[in-house]
This record gives sequence, structure tokens and C-alpha cells, in this order.
Amino acid sequence: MLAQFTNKLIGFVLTMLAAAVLVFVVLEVLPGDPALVMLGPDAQPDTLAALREQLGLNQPVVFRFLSWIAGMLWGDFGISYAYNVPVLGLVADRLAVTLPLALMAILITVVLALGLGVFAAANSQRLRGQLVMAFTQFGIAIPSFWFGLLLILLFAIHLGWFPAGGFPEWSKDPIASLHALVLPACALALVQAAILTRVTRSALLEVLHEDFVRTARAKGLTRREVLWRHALQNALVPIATVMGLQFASLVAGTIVIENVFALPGLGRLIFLAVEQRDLVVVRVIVVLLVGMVILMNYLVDIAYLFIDPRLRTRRA
Amino acid sequence: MIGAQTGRFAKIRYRLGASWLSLWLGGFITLCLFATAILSYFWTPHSVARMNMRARLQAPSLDHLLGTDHFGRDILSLLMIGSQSALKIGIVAVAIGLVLGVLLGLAATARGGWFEELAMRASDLLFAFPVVLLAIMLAATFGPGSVTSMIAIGVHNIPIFARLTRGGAKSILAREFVMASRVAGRSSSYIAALHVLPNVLNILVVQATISFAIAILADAALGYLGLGTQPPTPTWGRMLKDAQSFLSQSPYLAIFPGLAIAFTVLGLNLFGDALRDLLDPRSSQGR
Repeated sequence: MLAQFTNKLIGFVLTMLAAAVLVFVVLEVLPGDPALVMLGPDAQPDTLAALREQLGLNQPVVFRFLSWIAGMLWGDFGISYAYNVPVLGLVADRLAVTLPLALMAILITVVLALGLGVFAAANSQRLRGQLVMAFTQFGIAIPSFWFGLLLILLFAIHLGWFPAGGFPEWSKDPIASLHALVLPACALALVQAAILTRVTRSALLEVLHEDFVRTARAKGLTRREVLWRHALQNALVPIATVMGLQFASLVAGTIVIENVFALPGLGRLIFLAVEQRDLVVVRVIVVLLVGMVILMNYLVDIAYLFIDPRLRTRRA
Repeated sequence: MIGAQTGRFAKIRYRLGASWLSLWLGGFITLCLFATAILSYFWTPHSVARMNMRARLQAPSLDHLLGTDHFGRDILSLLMIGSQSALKIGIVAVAIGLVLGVLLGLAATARGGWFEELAMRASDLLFAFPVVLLAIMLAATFGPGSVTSMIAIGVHNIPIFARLTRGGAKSILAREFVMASRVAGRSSSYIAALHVLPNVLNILVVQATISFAIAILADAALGYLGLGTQPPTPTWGRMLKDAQSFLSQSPYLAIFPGLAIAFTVLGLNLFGDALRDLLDPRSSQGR
């Protein structure tokens, strides 16, 4: 198992490096002169020269890439051009919104999807099971940002139960902060839960045909015990796979949803950075978010080894 | 035993029956969408080129079936014209992913060895970039627009088609008729084009339909963020963005474009799922 870990770890580091190269090429090499992109075509020559100097654009490309990577490894993410503060601080502040939002969305997704998925599998031949599946078709078809707007319309404007947007700082009123994240997290979770419900159901249906399920029923366990304890555990590999894949769309979703609810998170920051042409910030956040996706896939890969002992290679 | 047999056949017939239903329903919705887009080139209930501030933010009425927006433009007409760009971007994005992905997948299987490993790693890497992030990177360097949207969604589609093609190609390359063709002296590219491609066509068609639906969703999100097609061209995503400012005054502004997106995507998804069940009954197990 240790060899598998190290192999996967090397793969992870190489993938991260390749991702960083890709981002660097798109944001630093393709535009030709990033300083010109950031300042616009009307920039004065001396301002341009100053920015080139500040960004180190006069150095060779390979050197710039290596020093960027080395800097990030030491926690130096560069200086934001628009805000004139270290990017690390900016990102850390915004993570305090994005991370809880993502976690809350994942929690809602998993609870909803496992519950509905098991229900739909247990009732696969009945109308109520089919109804759940019909609902998931709608859930997949609805854009999450539109669902967010509908939630605002109903729960913020009409009922007034939740704020329509904005975010009070954690230090002032943690309950209000959490409260402000409920609607965005629900908007994010809907689509994810719809997909995961379908996966959970079909994975379970596959397992429910197996002999050990019949054995478990025969030895006197109730349907519920068999479903939740035996069947679900054995259906976890496809469920975990899809959850890992969904993480990328969750990351993309937070960018959109944070803009719907005006939450000061990473998604809002990167979006504003695009408008302000702050390539330094864009670059760091893209690498960070993509890095999270790659890390998540790596963790899912490792999780397989724990979920399913058959995937572990034995020492010869 | 006989009872179990008939039961099973009944189940299959029931399932295929449901598939036919979603095929027709999904096909009908998709057809309506294309018809609307084509119709909107020639006719819309009202012209959307001119603003009419006296008629702004009207509720649905007989004259304006779905109401008017903040410039007094007819929502139904805007939605009809919006379907043009949704379809255009969806088609181009799927075409980019399909052509490049299939080429990459075929090349990887035909060449094998380190090239295959490299190509598949590269497509894994690309898959880790969500569409919105790709669009953000492109918009930051080249500016927002419909081309940014098409390329971002298209590039994201490449790994999906590459994987599908390679997966299908692998199993076909191991078959006897391919071996015979090889013995007969055919080149790898000949085999890829004449034996492998026709055999993976089914799954590619199904995936193209599903990818089309996802492309429309992604384009709507990019339009909402202002990264996609720029005004004055109306898009569904942009309409929702504009609607957000008038949410408490005119909620229906935020309802109709969303419904248009949802129904389009629902139709395409139903169509794609049904195609998969009907073209490849093996994969429909437990769906």
C-alpha cells in the first residue's frame, strides 16, 4: 500500500506542476505583454515600463516561471496590482467565506443524495421511487445560479427568512454569517445532489442483486439494515468517484453563486480581478482552485484503497 | 421460472417504452428549440432593436405575452433571439470537443506507448479545469465574448470525448476483424478511421447530446457572469443577470429565461438518455 501511496503522490506533484505550466502559459505567455493587458492600450510608456519592472517581465520566461513556483512554495503569492497588497492575505480572507460555503454545500449534497438515492433504490418499482428520479431530471436541468435567484425571490424577498445577499464578518456575528450562507449552499447543492442521487440509486440497485444481500436478509436483518449497512457500503466506490468528479463543478459553482449572492469569497475575488485585469491575482486563484480539484481527485483515489480492500496490492 | 422470464421481458419492454417516451418528449422539445431559433431569424412578435421606455417592466399581457424588460423590450422576442446564441455556442463547443477529442483518442490508441500515456495524462489535466475557470483565464487575456465562451466549453469537452473514443477503441482493436485487417497490411490510421470510428459512433452521438445540454448550461452561467456573448446580443444568461436588479419589482423577468434554459437542457438530457438506452441496451441496466 505504501508503494501505491508514493506512486500516486508523484503523479499528484507532476499533475500540479503541469497545471501551473498551463496557467502560466495562458496568462503570461499567450498575451504577449501582460503589462499591456493589465494597463490597457492607452497606457503611458513609462507606466508600462514601471509595471514590467515590478512584475519582473524583463527576465526570461523560464526564470519567471520558476521564481513564481518557488515563491508560492514559500508562501509568497506576489502583490496584487489592483489592491497593492500581498495576494496571500487577500486569498486567505476570501477562503474564510468560500471554504465554509463549499463544506456546507457538500454536507447538504451528501445528506440529500444518500437519503433520496437509497429511497429511490428501495422503491425502484414504485411510483414514489420514479417520482424522485423525475425530480432529479429537473434538478440536473436547472442552472444553479437561476435556482439561487429563485431562492432569493422566495425566501429573501417574499418570506424574508434569509438575507438576499452580502456577508457579515465571522468575527462580528458568526450566527448571521452562517445564516447568510444557507441559501447559497442550497443553490449549489441542488444540482450536485440531483446527479449524486441518480448515481447512488443505480449503484445500490446493482449491489442489491448480489448474493450477500440475500444472505443478509435470510439471516434475519431488516430491509433497512441491509440497505444502509450492507448495500450502501458496497456501493460506495462509484458514489465516491462521482463525488470526486463533482468537486470540480462545485468549485466552478462557488464562483457563480458567490456572484449571485454578492459573497466576498474567492469566486467574487477572481471575478473582480478579471474585470480589473489583475493577472497576478487571477493566476494565483486559478492555480489554487485547480490544485484543490486535483488534490480532491488524489484523495478519492486514496479513499478507494480504504473503501475497497480488493484494490490494495498485496506484497508479493 | 416461466413467470420470472415473462416478468423480466415485461420489465425490459416497460423500460424501453419509457425510453421511447423520453425520446419523443426530448426530441420534441429539442425540435421546438431549433424551430424557434430559425423562426427568430425571420420573425419575432416585437422588434428588440428599439427601446421603448414607456413600456418598461410591464407584466405579461396579451400584447407582450411574457412582459417587457427594463428597456421596454418584449421578453418573448428576446428569449426567441436568445435561443440563437445558445444553439450556436452549444454546437460549436460540442464540435470542438468532438473533433479534437476523437482525434486525440484515436491517435492515442493507434500510437499506443508513451504517446497514449501522455495524451491521456494531458486530457486528465484539462479535465481538472472547470469551464468557468477556463473562461476566466481566456477572458483575462483576450477579453470576454462568445468566442471565449465557445473555446472554454469546447476545450473542456475534449477530454470527455477523448476518453470515450479511447475506451471504445481499445475493446474494438482487440477483436478478430481488426486483427485480420492488420494482417492484410492496413495502416493504423486506416483501421482507426474505417473500423474503430463506426463502432464508437453510437456512444459519441449520445455523449454529444449530453454535452450539448451541458454546454448550454455552461454558456448561460458565463453569460450571467458577463464573460460570454456581449450585449447588445440578447442571451438567456445575460437576461437573468439584468433581471436580478429588478427582482422585487418584476420577478417574472427572472422566471422566463430560467425556464427557457431548464426546458432546453431537460429536453436534450431526456433525448440523450433515451438514445443511450435504445442504442446500447447493456448500459441501461439499473438506470
